[in-house]
Amino acid sequence: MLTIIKYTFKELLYKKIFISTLLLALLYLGLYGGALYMVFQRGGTPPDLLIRASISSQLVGAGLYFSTFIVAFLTVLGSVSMVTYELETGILYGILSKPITRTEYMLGKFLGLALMLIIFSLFLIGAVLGLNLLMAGEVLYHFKLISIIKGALIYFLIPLTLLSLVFYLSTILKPLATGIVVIMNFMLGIIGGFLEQIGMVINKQELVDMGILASLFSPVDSIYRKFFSFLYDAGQSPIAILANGPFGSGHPPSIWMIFYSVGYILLFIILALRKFNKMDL
Amino acid sequence: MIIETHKLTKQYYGSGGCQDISLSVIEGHIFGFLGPNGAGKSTFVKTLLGLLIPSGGEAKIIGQSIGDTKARKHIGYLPELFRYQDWLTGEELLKYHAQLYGLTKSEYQIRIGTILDLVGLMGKERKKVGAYSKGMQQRIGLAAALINNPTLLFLDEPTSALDPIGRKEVRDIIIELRNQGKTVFLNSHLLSEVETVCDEIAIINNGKLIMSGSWREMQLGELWLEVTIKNLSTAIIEKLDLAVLKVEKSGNDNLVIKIAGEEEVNKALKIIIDNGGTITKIETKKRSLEELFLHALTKGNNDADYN
Ligand SMILES: Nc1ncnc2c1ncn2[C@@H]1O[C@H](COP(=O)(O)OP(=O)(O)OP(=O)(O)O)[C@@H](O)[C@H]1O
Ligand SMILES: [Mg+2]
Repeated sequence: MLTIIKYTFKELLYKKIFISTLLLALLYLGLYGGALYMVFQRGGTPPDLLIRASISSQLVGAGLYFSTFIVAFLTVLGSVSMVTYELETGILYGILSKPITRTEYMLGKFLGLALMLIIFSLFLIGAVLGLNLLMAGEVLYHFKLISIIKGALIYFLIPLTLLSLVFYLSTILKPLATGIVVIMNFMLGIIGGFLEQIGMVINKQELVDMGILASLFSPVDSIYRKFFSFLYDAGQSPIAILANGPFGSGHPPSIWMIFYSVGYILLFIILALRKFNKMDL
Repeated sequence: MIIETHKLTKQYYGSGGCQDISLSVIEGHIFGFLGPNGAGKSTFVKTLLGLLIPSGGEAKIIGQSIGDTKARKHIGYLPELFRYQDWLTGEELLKYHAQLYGLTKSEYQIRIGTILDLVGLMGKERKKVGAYSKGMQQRIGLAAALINNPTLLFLDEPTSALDPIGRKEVRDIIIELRNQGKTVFLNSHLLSEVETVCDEIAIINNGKLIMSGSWREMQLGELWLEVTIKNLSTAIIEKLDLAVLKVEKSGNDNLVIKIAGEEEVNKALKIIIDNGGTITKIETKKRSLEELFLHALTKGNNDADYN
């Protein structure tokens, strides 16, 4: 299985998709850094420290929020072809005639991709926070290391939920269809998240319910909000209120959402394995 | 028996594939599995290797039931549609396959060199597999199948993309493997190729096994005599007709005579001479695999001669 993980990783590095996503990410970080520079280094911002801190946290939120789009992009495009490619080209004949079970193969692929996505996510979170530290300086909320670690662990669930869904769908659909379904599902989660936040703000329970329903299909947004609330130690720190806002965690989901997401990942992995083990290659 | 199947069946949604195949392969033999396109040869092999889920029957290879991954440590397989990770170089590909077999670095390092040399890819191992020609890809596929020094090797149309020299090389490799005591299961419809190397053959058509057995024994027995005779008369033909399996006139002074075995050559010639024929030329032909094959396919299941 280690061999599969290693070569999945290698293949990702080799494939253009990884390089192009990395370029996209750098472009994004460049723009984002530029925006931060405009806001914090070029005067004209309100002198009030609290307002500046609030602006800072909004910007951190926006930066991290849009990073999830890039992570999702890499997850879907990087994995959708990976799983089905070897099946469709017949490369799998050469691999699965070796002393390795189908389960080992699938888990190896999953872990290889997961590892890459985790590293990529860490890079993005690190870069966004780093840019903020550089540009906003003392107005930036003082993140505790432990909060960042806890938050990151939760953040990883975003690519992993998407990845598990890709794995399952690619055992039953063509790559393109899988990609479309997973991206639509991702968008559903994002829209659901917004509905939920709006519903909370304007006190419309129907909207909140719709959002919660959407997050059952696609927990990405809830995971993100939970991550953000961990980052800002919501509920513990008096200035955690700063973390409110459209990209923030004014109303973070309950901790059960985390368990739900882990269950979601396991469920789709198990379904994918069951299907794959019974499949004719 | 290194392979033993009992009524092994694999059908695709209830049709095609192969049905009720019962055969056994002796260790150390080269086994030719023949059949026309779409007969079910590849299906059978893929089922044995656990790539397809059987719809019925049983099979054991190297003492393990199919689907058990342990036996595969000692199995090599060259699939018919050989596609390999085209982003790896030839050498990296072999390394990858060696690692999939669980070989350690010290085990595969020397082996890779030997194998590259054997399949004639020495000097091209740093080129990407994607940039290989079709024949080179087939060669690297063969190398990947041999990397673990398998006791049992499955080759599905191993020479389909090779030039005549390549074909000869593969034939030599197969014979060399037999000399080392390995078993080779060879899927093919290139009869001339199978003919020269196989110990045993089985013929499959429309998913069903038509015949199987030792190729040498099949060749024993029937023999064809092609005789050119001056002053050939109807008397000669009539007399022969009573004594041999079959007589056919071909051209003015040629007879094609089918006899039961070498011991009957004399008898046939004596009849010709005794009846006033003068033999000017004589040729004997053993039954070729092609004849056997075509015969088997046209007669189908009714042929009980060689079961
Ligand atoms: N994936 C599949 N789905 C449906 N039918 C299939 C599939 N693969 C093979 N078949 C059918 O099963 C039969 C046997 O196919 P198989 O590939 O085993 O033949 P073969 O003897 O290897 O032929 P060839 O000499 O052309 O390689 C054919 O009739 C084919 O149409
Ligand atoms: Mg075939």
